[in-house]
Amino acid sequence: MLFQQSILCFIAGLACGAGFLVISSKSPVHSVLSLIFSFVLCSFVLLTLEIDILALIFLIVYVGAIAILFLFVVMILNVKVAEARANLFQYFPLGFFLLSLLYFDLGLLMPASFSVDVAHFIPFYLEWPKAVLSFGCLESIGFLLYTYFPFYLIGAGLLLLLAIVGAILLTLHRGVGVHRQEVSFQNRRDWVEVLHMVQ
Amino acid sequence: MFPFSVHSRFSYFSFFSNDLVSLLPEIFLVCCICLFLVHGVVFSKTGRILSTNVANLSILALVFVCILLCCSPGGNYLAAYSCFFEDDFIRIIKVFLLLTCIFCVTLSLFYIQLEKSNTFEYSVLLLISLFGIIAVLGANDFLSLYLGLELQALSFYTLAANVRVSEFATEAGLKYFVIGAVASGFYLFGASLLYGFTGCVRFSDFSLLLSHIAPAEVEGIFLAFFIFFSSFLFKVGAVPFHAWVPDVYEGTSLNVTAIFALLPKLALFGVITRLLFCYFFSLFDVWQFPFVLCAVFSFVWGSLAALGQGRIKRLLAYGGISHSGYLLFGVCSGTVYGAQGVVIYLLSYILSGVTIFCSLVGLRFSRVRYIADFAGLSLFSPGVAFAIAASLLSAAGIPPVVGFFGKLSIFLSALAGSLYVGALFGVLCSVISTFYYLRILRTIFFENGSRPLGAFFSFFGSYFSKELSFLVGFCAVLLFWIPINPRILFFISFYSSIGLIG
Amino acid sequence: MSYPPIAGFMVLSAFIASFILGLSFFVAKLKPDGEKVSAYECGFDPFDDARARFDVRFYLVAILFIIFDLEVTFCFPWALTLFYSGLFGFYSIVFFLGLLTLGFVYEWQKGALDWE
Repeated sequence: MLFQQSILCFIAGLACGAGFLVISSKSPVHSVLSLIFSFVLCSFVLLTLEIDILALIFLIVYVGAIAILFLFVVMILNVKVAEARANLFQYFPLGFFLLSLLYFDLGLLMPASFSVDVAHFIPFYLEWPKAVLSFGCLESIGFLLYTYFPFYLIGAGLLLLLAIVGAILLTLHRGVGVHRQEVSFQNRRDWVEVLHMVQ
Repeated sequence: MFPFSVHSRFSYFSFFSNDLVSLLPEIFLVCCICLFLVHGVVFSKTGRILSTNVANLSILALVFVCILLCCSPGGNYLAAYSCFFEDDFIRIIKVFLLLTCIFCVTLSLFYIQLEKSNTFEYSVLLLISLFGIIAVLGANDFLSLYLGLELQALSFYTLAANVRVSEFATEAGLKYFVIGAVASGFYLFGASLLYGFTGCVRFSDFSLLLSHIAPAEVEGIFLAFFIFFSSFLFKVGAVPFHAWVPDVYEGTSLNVTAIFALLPKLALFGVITRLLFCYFFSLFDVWQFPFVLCAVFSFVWGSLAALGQGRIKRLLAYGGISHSGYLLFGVCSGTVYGAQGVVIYLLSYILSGVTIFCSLVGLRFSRVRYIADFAGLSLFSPGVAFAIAASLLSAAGIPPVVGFFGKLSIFLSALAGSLYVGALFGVLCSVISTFYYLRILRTIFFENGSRPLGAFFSFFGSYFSKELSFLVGFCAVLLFWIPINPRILFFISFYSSIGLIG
Repeated sequence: MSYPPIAGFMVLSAFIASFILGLSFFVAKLKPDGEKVSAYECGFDPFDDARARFDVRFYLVAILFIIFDLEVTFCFPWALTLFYSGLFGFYSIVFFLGLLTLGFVYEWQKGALDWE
């Protein structure tokens, strides 16, 4: 238990360090790289906590796609680095104060309520079949989401559909006068119909 | 829990058949959304302009959904494995939501034809956001509420930034997006803390849990509760979280502003009232005072800041902030009359909002942006001047118009809940707000502007379409007709508030 | 749970990555110079960054990729438990995929996949 917790703390500390690098590094590309690093570390933390589906999603979605998207944003927008840094240190004291206040509050509340006396529960709630056939997060989500809660699935599908429509609506602009290549039209074209004898 | 045995394989279908009946309007709406999307994209390849076509189709679909909703089995029930809940309160709010959405589509139809925009996705996005709002209203747990909120918010971001060429629209969309993301973050954080502290996901479990144990025994539930509800305050634009409202209202095009002003307020106050009255009422002692503070600050700030505004949209935005303050104040009274007052206020708000936004959209070609631009309107278009006057009087809460009943019932319920100081502030602020609403009326009726408004009108005289003028006339007459015969208003609101409690 | 193989893979991949990077660092000839990384413009000092700005359509492609990526993540738990969740579970995800197929149809017809 202690070993696991120390590993957890180590990785979480590394993730915090990577998070600090995100906001403190000069080049935006470097901050995106350290963002990717912090995502990977977060997925390790989740793996340590045995929340394997979230770890998987972090690796696939955040590292695989969103970080790349961030890189694209960096390339699309020509962000001036110096201005951003000036603003950062201007707001730093206030933000730090508010954040420490929040963490102080949370710290007052958290340990009292989450510490469960495990020895108190285990003799009553240990079910041997479950101990033998243990499921991870992936399996339990699979059991529930597709059978009992299909409406969530449909809602998520609608959300993704909306994302497709919104992204295309906002970014895709097809000019009217632009000539495009229409491959099928070109292939369908018959020279007999096109050529005319000019008298 | 784990469906291992053979028995679980057939039990799904029996569970599903009832859901199909109870969720029929929503399922029909989703099918319509998919159909319109494919219809629009397939036929727009042929070069046709489909925006009016799809808008008309979506009005038809909304009418059908409304009919399906009125034919639903009735009573209180949980659907889809207790993900969704429905009672008379929700049903009535849903019907009004659908009617408002029909009004909004009609209004935008006119705007689309005026601007000759070729985005049929507009109506589809509106329908998707409507589906999200309906899911928000009927949600019975954190996840379905979140899905609904995100569906609504995501389509609203897209609607806000819809006008690609306008920098203001892009800015408004971006601001709305950032604020919405922060609000979603608050929602998720608060919801996960609530789940962590209590172990409940469903709202009905919260009412059971909190009625059986003293809330103070669940440590940290107050913090979680306030983080959770601050996201709703963000979304309705109540005072500590209001700064985005004027910018977003001002930047978006007029039809989208109408949608932002009308639809979410109805749904969010519906769900806030239901959450606070049905599920978190055991925490009443805790939430009453902070929410009263929020409400009082909202209407004080909304009224005072609107005094200095020259632009009509910013003025309406500050008016919207003070309206959400009054609505929150009605919720805070904690009585059945408070819920009734909220419903009455919402209905009067919707009526006056539809009237004024339709009028503004109709006046679009005369470029009315500042309040001073209204000068001489009564000479050139007395009907529109009358409609705007009716809606502004209703928003101010002057007696012969329906808005008076909203404010009256809110203040009476506040007195019944012994919120005397807050009620005093509310009355004072509505006096202040009367000042700037009457100032617009003075500009409309008694001033001749330096800019000849009539020149535009004689040229674009017929720019109110038939549907739009019908809508403006209908709502303006309703604003005056309901106070003459207010029984139906009181019946509907009382029925829904009883449905909320019972 | 049994994560040791994963840990083994991670250590192995970290080792290989650092080995390759270190090899190119130590073996190759290094002559760092400020001029090597700066933008080259003939005859005068560079006006701007060396990075050219992208077209927004790259971004569109990336967003569409994310969406279908998320769709795939919904399929992982489904694939693991398909045997237990039966026909109903199968059809629920078929509806989900159908919604996204509509999105794909929209995208295709709209020409978001074309490159002018």
